[in-house]
Amino acid sequence: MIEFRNVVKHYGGQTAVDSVSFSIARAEVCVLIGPSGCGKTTTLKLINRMLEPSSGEVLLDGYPVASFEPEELRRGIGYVIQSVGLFPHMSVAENVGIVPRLVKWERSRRERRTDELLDLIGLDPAQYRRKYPSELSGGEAQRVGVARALAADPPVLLMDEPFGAVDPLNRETLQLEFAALQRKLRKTVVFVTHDLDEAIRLADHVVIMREGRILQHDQPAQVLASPANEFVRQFVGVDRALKRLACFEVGDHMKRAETITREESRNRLNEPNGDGGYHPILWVTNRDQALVGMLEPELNRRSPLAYRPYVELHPAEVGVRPAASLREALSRILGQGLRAVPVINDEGRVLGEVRLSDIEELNQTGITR
Amino acid sequence: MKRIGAFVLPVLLVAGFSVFVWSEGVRELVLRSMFPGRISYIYERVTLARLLSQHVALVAVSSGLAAAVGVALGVFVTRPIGRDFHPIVQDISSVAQTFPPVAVLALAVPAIGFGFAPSIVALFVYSILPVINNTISGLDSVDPAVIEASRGMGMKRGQILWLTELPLAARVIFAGIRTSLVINIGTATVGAVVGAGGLGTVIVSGLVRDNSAYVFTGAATAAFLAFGLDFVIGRIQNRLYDARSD
Repeated sequence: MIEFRNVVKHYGGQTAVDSVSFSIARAEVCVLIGPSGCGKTTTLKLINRMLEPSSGEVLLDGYPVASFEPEELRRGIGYVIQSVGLFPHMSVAENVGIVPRLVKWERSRRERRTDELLDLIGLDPAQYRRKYPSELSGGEAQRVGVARALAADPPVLLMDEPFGAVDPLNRETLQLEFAALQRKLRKTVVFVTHDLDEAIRLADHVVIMREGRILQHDQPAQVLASPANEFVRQFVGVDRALKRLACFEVGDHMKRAETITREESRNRLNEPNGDGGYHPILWVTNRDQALVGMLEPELNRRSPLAYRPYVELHPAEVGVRPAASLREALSRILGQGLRAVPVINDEGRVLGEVRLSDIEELNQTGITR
Repeated sequence: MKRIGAFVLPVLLVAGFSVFVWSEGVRELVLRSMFPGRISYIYERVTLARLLSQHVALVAVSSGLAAAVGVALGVFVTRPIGRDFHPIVQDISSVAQTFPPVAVLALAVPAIGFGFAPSIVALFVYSILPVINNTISGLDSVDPAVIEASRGMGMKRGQILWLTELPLAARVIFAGIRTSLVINIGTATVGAVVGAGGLGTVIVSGLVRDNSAYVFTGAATAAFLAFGLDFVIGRIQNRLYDARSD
């Protein structure tokens, strides 16, 4: 979809981008990351010709971007800017409709599209259409910025630290919303950030840059597992093992869970057990099969296997959802002091469990020292 | 109540002013009460209404030219091709305002002759500075991120100017035109010296003949014109920008 071929960009004697070659596949989110001045924003701006390369070429769908009129090219590429960049003199609807207006859509079609997009980003069109950017919160403005970029339904989206100006709590919400949106829209996204957690959360591939060069281009889990060099190792941090867990979903790593009813649980306090293998926690469910408590095996006594007394549990505190990350599962495991946590659905039913031992194993197989 | 007051007061003022200008009887009554004595109260040679219309014409032509040329110059020197002229244009227009208008007239008369034209030149030169200055600072104050966004959305140069820069700078540019207009209404009285007519005629005549009523007639009418126009432009500005709470 997008390909860089030996691209060099000089900037007043400095080399901002130094002979970069890589490609981005259709419908993937590629995150460019690195310390400030590493050339990531410059690289992004070479795609829609906000900047021109000093040498080398950038291809879009196999055609050099230099073969398009710059304005035509940009109207076909969604662009979300660092400082939001909403037009302060235009209403939300006018902001979102600007590219359709430039490509001369009819008014009625523009208005329909604007309302559709406001719905998509979760802002009620009737309430927000006529507002001005100064009346929006940071998070709302940022969503409108995304809607504006999507207005003419471009296949490619460029995002330059789009959530950088938002406070951390809102930023996470925006990231999750964007991830959900992207699952629906399947755009080819090039995303610039200096926030590693953001990159891990959103990226299909990350490109780690420094001084205009690409140090590593890989899936986030792979980068965290085996950093290409000392700089990347330091950049991803000493807690990379923990960060890496954020790349895995609970749903892909859960095991079958043992569930029993409350009645059965009364007879399980003492139970002979022959094999010395894994003694699972017994998750106790009510008549609707919703989690209500557990029986935890007493590990110190081998035989006969004994269970500690029944413990009542709050599903919201102990359970994790299938879509959660293993990092969250681990934090629940440590927080509750258990060896496993149940995976539950919206109704509180037990779908399976995530075990500490599995997380440890996953960690050991991936990470290089 | 407040709304009605805001509407009624200007209407009353305009009505009173019109009567003062058009009804010589009323004007004589007013002036006689202010300047008792044995003097002439009504300027005989030209009607006040005619002087007023000459004055408005002087101001309209000179300010119109100043606004058009000033905005155009301001836009030109903030474009990439005109950047080099940015300091020169600003210097020249600053110097222009340091000349007293009478001096500009004195210089213009030998070149253009007596009458309407030299006054227009003097007023134009004198009032273009606030327009240029405000156009430049209005355009310069547009957030670069917004211009970057305009480029990123695929706007061409002209579209960036018309859709982004001018609307965002409009408030400041308008303020410049408003200032230049109000300055001009006062300064245009000087035009009488070179025979351009206008309200200055009756003032000059009053000064020459030591007739305070004449001086007051011209000065008050010009002052009212200035206040009135300033008020109207202010209302237009509010109408344009209030909806937008920015």
